[in-house]
Amino acid sequence: MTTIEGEFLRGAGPVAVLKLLERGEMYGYELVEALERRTDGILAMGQSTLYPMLYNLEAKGFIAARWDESGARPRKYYRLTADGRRKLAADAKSWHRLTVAMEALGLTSSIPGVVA
Amino acid sequence: MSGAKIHDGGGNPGASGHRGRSPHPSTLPPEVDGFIEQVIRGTRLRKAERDDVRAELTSHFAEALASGASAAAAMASYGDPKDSARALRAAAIAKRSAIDRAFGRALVATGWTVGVVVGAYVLFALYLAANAPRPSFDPIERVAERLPVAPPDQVAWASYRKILPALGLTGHQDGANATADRIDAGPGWPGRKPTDEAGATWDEQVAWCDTHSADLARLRAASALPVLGFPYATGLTELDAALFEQGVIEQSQALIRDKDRPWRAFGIMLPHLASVRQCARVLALDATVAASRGQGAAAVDDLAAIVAMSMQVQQPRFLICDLVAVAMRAVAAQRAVMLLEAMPDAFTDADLARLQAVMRSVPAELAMLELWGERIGFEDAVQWVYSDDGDGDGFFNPTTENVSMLSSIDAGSLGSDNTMSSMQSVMVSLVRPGAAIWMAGRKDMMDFYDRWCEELTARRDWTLGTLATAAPTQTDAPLRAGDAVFKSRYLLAALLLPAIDKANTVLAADRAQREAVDVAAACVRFRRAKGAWPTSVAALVPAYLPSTPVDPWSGKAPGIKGDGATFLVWSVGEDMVDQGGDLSAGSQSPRARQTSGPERAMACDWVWFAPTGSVDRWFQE
Repeated sequence: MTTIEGEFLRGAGPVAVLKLLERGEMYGYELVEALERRTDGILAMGQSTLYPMLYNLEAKGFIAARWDESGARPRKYYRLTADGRRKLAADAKSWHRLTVAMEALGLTSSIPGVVA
Repeated sequence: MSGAKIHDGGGNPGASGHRGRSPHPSTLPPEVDGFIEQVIRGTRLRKAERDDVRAELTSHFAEALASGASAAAAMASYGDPKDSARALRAAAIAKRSAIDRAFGRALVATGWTVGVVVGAYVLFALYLAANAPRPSFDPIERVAERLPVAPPDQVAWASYRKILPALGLTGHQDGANATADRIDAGPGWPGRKPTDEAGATWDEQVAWCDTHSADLARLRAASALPVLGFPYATGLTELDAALFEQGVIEQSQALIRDKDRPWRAFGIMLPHLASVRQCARVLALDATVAASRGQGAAAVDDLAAIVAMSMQVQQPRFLICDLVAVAMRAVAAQRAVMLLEAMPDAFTDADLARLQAVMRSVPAELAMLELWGERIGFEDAVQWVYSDDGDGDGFFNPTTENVSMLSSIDAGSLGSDNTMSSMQSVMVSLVRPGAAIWMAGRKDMMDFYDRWCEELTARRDWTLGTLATAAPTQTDAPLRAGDAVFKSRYLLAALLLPAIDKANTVLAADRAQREAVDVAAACVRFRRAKGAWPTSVAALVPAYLPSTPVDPWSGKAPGIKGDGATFLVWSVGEDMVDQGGDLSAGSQSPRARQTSGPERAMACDWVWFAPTGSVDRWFQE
């Protein structure tokens, strides 16, 4: 499956990460795998891109992190903040309108697993 | 997800604080650890931030390996470490607080600014090193261009260098010189004792003058020649060997030959000045001997020779030449008044008229400030310490050697060994660009010098009183006020200007003193013609004086009084207070400053003429 890169991913990647975290906190590698698995590889962003993206979302207050060292391997978990939820809601609407518009143009029928 | 060991995932200096995550013992393969370190190094983040990123990536690869991926596959799927490092750095910085980011930006900006400034400083230093001062003119040649020339038989120096050794007036420490020194230390006046034990008696002085009468006649004849011809620009030669020590001749020739020697104008050899000054004293002695024998005409010849030699000395117009010339004329003027007061009968009316003519014979330009010689010296100094942009400007950019010269001037020891250590040389190199920026530029420096010279020259015809009461010159006011900033910016001027400060006063005193002799001679002539002393100086005009004399201190007519037995003409003197012509110490000179203690005027008049029959006032301490 060909992945989406560049400008598309720059816009879609953060929304996709926020969407994944909506269900609960996740650590970095878990997010990498989830993105690949749940988007059928389309949003399988380079792993080196994910962590800077997480830091940026954290810097903007949309997500928060904590370390958990209780398991076999230390993991850094990320969770959605209240601001992150509001941001996700707003972005979801935008993506929905975009999808509808694209469909109206006959460009696509759906983008599975990315937006609700 | 929960656990017993859970903490905030900070690790950056943002909202989460500076709590970096402690490095966790890695169980990853060495190549993965190396990969992670490559990323971490590339981020150039702070330690706490690096620790956090390291922990996150370690966790990431541990998870990848645990999921069954090989180390190579995990690294390959992670992506390019350099790109990752750049992105992580940008993101980690974005996590910092606004103040932190602002501080970081300021730090970076400061770093760049410092870097640019240092770079510019280094480039400027290189520019200065490549544009060291390149002297464009030879000061010796420039002096030579201003000197009068004459055929060999009209050049006085050719005669002086033969006569001076015969009179013992040389720098050599030989018998003739010792005798001349002893004669010079004699009383100089009949009936008086030597001023020190080593001095000759009056009779010995008379005998010496008689013995050397032919030499003195040749000296007088040479003084009448129009050109001195001292070898300022060609160097002393073996022909001058009889006058000066061998070392002086070698120094003089080296100075002319070595055009790369800095500040040559200040090194121009003037060893003859001491000899000609001694000539003035010997001629004054001879004048006294002649007058004591009733030979007034011969006495006037001697005094005329002193004045003529003084004018030769002023070729060229270095300040030191002016000062020596003025001192020689002061010897002639004071001796003339002494003779008129004590031995007036030695002089015929024609002798007196000739004496007046002698005192008036000094052209105005030689009795007023003229700084062309000094300017050549200053411009020479400038061309050695300033670079030249070809348009009259340039930076203060002295070589180590010339910094040494400046230091020696500052220490008052020009010419002494001021070799710098290598460490000092390095310091000079480091400081040079800063100094070049700080110091006045070449054009500014010369403009300042010329403005100051112009202001001084504008006062060249002022009287003593006007000079004493006028506001100080303005151009150099910051220097006089001790303005440290100005002095440091105009260092060359601060070091070299003060020497000229009193020149106008010295020259005004020269003019005044010769006028006093003129008036004294006129009074004697008046008395002979009229049978009584004049009751006012105006009475001397026009028969004996071309115009009414003026007291140079008060600006009014000089004091004059006589009761038949006594007669006095006087100026109020430097204290500007009329004491009625008192004859106490200090009355002999227009500038009766005390020689010790703080410089101030003595409370006395300057008496131009006091024919009391006694010369006691001339020998008071």
